[in-house]
Amino acid sequence: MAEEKWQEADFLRTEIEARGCKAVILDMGLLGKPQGPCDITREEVISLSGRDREQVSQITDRGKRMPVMVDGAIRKVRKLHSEGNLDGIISIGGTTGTQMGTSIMRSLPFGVPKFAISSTASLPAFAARYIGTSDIALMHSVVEIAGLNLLMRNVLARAAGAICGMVEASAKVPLSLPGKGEKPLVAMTHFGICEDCAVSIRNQLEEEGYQVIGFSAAGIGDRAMEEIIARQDIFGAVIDLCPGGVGEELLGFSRAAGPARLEAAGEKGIPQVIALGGVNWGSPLKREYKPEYALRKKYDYDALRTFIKLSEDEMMRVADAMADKLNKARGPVKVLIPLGGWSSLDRRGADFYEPELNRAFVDQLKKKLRQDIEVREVDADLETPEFAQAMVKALHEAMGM
Amino acid sequence: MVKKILLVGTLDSKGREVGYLGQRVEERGWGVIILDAGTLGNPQCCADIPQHEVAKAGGETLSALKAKGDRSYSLEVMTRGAIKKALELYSRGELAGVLAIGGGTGTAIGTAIMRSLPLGIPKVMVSTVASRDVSHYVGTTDITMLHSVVDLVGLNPITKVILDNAAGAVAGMAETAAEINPTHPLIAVTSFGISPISAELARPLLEEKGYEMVTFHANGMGGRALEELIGQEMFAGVLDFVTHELADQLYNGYCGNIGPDRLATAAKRGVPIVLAPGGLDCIVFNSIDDVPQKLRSRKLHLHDIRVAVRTAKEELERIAIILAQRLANPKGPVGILIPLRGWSEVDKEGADLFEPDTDHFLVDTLKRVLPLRVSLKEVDCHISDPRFVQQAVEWLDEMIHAPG
Repeated sequence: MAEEKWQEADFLRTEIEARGCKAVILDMGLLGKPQGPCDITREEVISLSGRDREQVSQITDRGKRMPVMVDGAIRKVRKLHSEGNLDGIISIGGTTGTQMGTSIMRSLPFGVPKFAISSTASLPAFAARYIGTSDIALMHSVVEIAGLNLLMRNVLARAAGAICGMVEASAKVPLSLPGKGEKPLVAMTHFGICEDCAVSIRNQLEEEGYQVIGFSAAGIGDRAMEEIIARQDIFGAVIDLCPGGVGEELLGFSRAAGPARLEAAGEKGIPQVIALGGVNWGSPLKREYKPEYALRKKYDYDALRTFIKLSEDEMMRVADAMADKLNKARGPVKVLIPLGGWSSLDRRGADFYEPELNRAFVDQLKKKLRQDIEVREVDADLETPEFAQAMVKALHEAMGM
Repeated sequence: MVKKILLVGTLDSKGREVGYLGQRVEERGWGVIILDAGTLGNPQCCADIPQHEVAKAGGETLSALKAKGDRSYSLEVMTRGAIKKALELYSRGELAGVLAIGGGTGTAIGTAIMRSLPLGIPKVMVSTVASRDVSHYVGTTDITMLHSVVDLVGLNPITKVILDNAAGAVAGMAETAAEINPTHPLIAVTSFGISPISAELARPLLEEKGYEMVTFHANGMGGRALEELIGQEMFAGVLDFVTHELADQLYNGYCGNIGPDRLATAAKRGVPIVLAPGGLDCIVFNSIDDVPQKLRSRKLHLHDIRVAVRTAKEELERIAIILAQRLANPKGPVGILIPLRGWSEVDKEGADLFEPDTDHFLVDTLKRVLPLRVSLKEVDCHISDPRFVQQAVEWLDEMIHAPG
């Protein structure tokens, strides 16, 4: 925002150019006048947003101008990137500036260096909003970004060094994907209560020459997996061991993984093997507990997290939602059911093991799923090597091997 | 002595990844020192500071930790040991920066080390949990959190992209990081949305006197960062115009998360300070729903979705007592400068919360309870009046130049 932070941006430019990179300043200015010249002016940004410039100039509310500027800037930045004219992006701001800067960054693919300097990086809950599922580096400015004092210059110089260092490092080793004839990358979701299975699957696949990329199914990693699959052609197959984010989203719990969870691989036609790891557990936030949750079976996972068993009604709704999503898939899908329990907590024999409830879920899932989607029951619990082996075998079949 | 970059990770689970990072950092011409913070399995790559040395520096033997098998105790010991090792490197002038990778546990250890180091030392934390509430990890320090997106397990094209970026970032930072050597003495000044003007007016006055001004946003975290840096002896003096956080702290309001040290460090360290009651006219809440029942009949000002509630006699007297406690036994000059015609943009003639008569309860109580060595002066104007700012700057300048 050149009406407030042009000096700082200009200093960053000088530092970046001193290191041999070229810098272009984009003005996200909302109101007021720029303090100095910018390479990409706010007028250009507004016209790229597709809005009428006259109309936008009537908007005096900062909050209403923000989406216009973000829209226009995203178009500009993506165009620069697709033309090969963008190696990295750096932003500077308080709350408003960081919100806008990181929104633009989140529109760029994984791997493009992204660096945000923010005076509000350390405020509770802000980092999550800024970073989302993206590979943004977020630096806390500590001091208020208001004037080029000694401390600010020190912070900015280091940030300039960082973004140049990132650009130089990534230019040397660009993202290199396996070529034709090589084993593709496999994306896999996993979660603490299914970790043994995840490790076994990883070991088997790596022995066979695959590379497995893990995404934690805690609501951010699994969401990121969907976005990366949707936007970049990186993965050749998906093992969705822990699709619990579907139910968490549906029921409004804390590991909610977004409305698009369990859909991207299907849309892209990528072979996927699904298990039900931990799908029968839910993690509502403590402060959002309903009185009836007190009556559920529950497990304290750590100081911050408690899981509760889903009710039969909730299980049915989750089965419906998963079936709806998988029915849209354009590629091969297999669903594997471990009859001996769906996580390390509810293995056969454990108090949490409720086979009738699991059975009801599976029946509902089968009823709703397309006929050609195979549901394969495996007589083992999820955390055993047998089940992991069955997953790997199913993956080979789904990949047509 | 050639400075090196400290790499931190639990080498039992992240050894290969740390080893790769080390290579990448070395390719950029930096030496590395690898510290192993793991206690569980066997390290996958060789450490320069192995786990048993870290445990020992933390006051335990590795075998005792393993025998005890208490995760949180191990974490505590290893964190203490790692901090000690990092500070040794820093005090010998050997530390060019810190780069750590980890999940929940690794991030806790990595950022604890970083928080123990002063502003200006490059700090990059590659974390699987960067996209959550990081306030307890970053705190008041200049840590860069790099979100790993994927799990940092195994070296594959995706994890390598993240690790390459991280190595580039810390090396790039180390290449530009200069010692913080003030050419002009620095003055810390607080500012905030509802009273931003005083700070801007102070800037030219301070510069004219040969100072450089550093602004802190007194929003809770900014106030704590200010105290932290006063503790690092960064400033020649402090102009604490906005002490509003004290009002929010009473009700756990928007800026209330300030801890017990806010306003106390300068007095304790003997750094000259002039403070004013900026923003003590109101308590700010995140939204109208957060306003406690007992305050709902007060005058309100709607900021955006945030709400400012007028402070009354009750709060102002409590704040005066808290101020007196925090300024007790000052080692240096402390002055309180009170503008008599309003303390913020919402507390001035014609504005929603203007109540100069109520403001007086703070002054009256302060006069009764302040330590003798703290002086109080009143100025008959608004806090944003140039005369007020001028007097504050002059007073601080006198304090700084006063003999002894």
